[in-house]
Amino acid sequence: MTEPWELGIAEAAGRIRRRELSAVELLGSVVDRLNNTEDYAHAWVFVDERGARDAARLADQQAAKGQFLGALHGIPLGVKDVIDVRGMPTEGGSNSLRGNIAKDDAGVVRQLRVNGAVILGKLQTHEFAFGQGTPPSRNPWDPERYAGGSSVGSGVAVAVGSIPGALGTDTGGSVRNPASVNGLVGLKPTAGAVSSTGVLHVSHTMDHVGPIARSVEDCAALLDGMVEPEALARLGGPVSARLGDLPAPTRLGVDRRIWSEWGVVPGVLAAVENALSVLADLGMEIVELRLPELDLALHASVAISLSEAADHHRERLSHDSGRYLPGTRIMIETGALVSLDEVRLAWKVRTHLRAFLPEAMARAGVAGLVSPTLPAIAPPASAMSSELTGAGGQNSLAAALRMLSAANLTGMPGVSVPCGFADGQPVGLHIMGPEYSDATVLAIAQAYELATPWRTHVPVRQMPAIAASQ
Amino acid sequence: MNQTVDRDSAVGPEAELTSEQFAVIRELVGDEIAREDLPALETAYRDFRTGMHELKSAFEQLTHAGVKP
Repeated sequence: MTEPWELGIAEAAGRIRRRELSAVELLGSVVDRLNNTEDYAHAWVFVDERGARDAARLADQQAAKGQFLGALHGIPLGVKDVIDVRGMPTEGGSNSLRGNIAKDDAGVVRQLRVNGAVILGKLQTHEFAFGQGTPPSRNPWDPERYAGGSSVGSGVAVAVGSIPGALGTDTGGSVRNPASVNGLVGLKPTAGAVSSTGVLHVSHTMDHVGPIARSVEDCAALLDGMVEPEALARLGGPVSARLGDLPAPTRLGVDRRIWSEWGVVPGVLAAVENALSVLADLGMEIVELRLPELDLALHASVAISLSEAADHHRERLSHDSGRYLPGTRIMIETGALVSLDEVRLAWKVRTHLRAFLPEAMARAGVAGLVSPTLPAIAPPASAMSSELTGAGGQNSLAAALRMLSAANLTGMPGVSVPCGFADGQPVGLHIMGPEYSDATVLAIAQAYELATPWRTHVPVRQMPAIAASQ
Repeated sequence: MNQTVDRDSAVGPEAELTSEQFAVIRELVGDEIAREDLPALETAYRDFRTGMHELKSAFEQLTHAGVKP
């Protein structure tokens, strides 16, 4: 029998609406699962069980009167700890923010509550979402491997079932990276679709708040609940209602040469080629589309992100620099040294790519660009290189950024959907589309998901054994 | 006016930041932390500059090759 914690967002919301499941019952099951997994997972930094129970009770009282606030009525969710939730700590994974309590909800959290969500607590992040340091969250597939970042707690909690969906933030891949590593679906929405007020920014230009869930349907439901009405109208209305709307014919662009330059390893390549065969069997046309311009995105993204980060952190660093991790500090210090000419060049590249990529896609008649999400499976945590500015290897944050940052730089939506395993570790397929085509990239992802078995591998029900030394 | 940092014994002789740049960092994080971070910052900054040179050259090549939006 399926326990309530195993349900996805859409399924649980449907049962609550039909009064087959209460919000209190769902929350109780999720909290039990959290208590049963957290010794392994270490995904949470703060759990507000009492506040969540009050909210769930209220949701049930409203449901009894036939009142449903929105599509997320009674659904418990987790929030990355760089996003404010009123009355809860926002510490951003940093000693410099210990004891900081949010006075108000971030815009996206406010919108989730408007749509009926129950906020259970805050999830682990790398310090200030920079990807530096080692949060305690464990990869549910292998305790010795990197668990993703910087929305690491969001990925791990959703994967182990201690929450059905979570918010992350994505400056250069930090939603899609943990989604890929943990076997989940993660979306970086179109720029501006989701409010980023009340978020500890790395970069206001590059940061996007995005959903992580266990299926495309759940990811879409969560996105719909995050977006304010005006932005939802710009997206063409609720994306959940349009997951069956594929363009006819659906053409997808791939640039295999750049995958090779990005150092994509054979196991990941095999999984992605199999996924392309599935998409072709579904009637989609896969076309080779050379886009070396994609490789401009990494350095332009880093220049914009780090220079803006220096501004965001200047005041706090002036009195608390000793309580930052050295790795985070070095990144921000580098940002303080970025010259005006370098910033101008980066913005010029951004302007160019924002115009060029959608036009190149339109010329080729493709609805999406498909690639691996990451060049390799999750490396051993001890081998993971967190430097952003260096060339890095396939196990580096820079390598992940190189593949994913074009979406952040251009504002285009990008989704990572599971496409199999390599050496027992999940592999993600990345689909990027023009701005405001979030529903289309999710529709392509769902068509693939429904044709393959990968969705059934999460939640991870049995945690791996931990070596005595860990 | 791009003099390299005037280092004392706590800071190695192979510094690459100019004195103006080091002053920016000192103002940002304080003198002690700035000195502590200097070797790693120089590596990161050098990598960053290399990346920006690559970007400039690649962007010029692509745009001069007639790749226009």
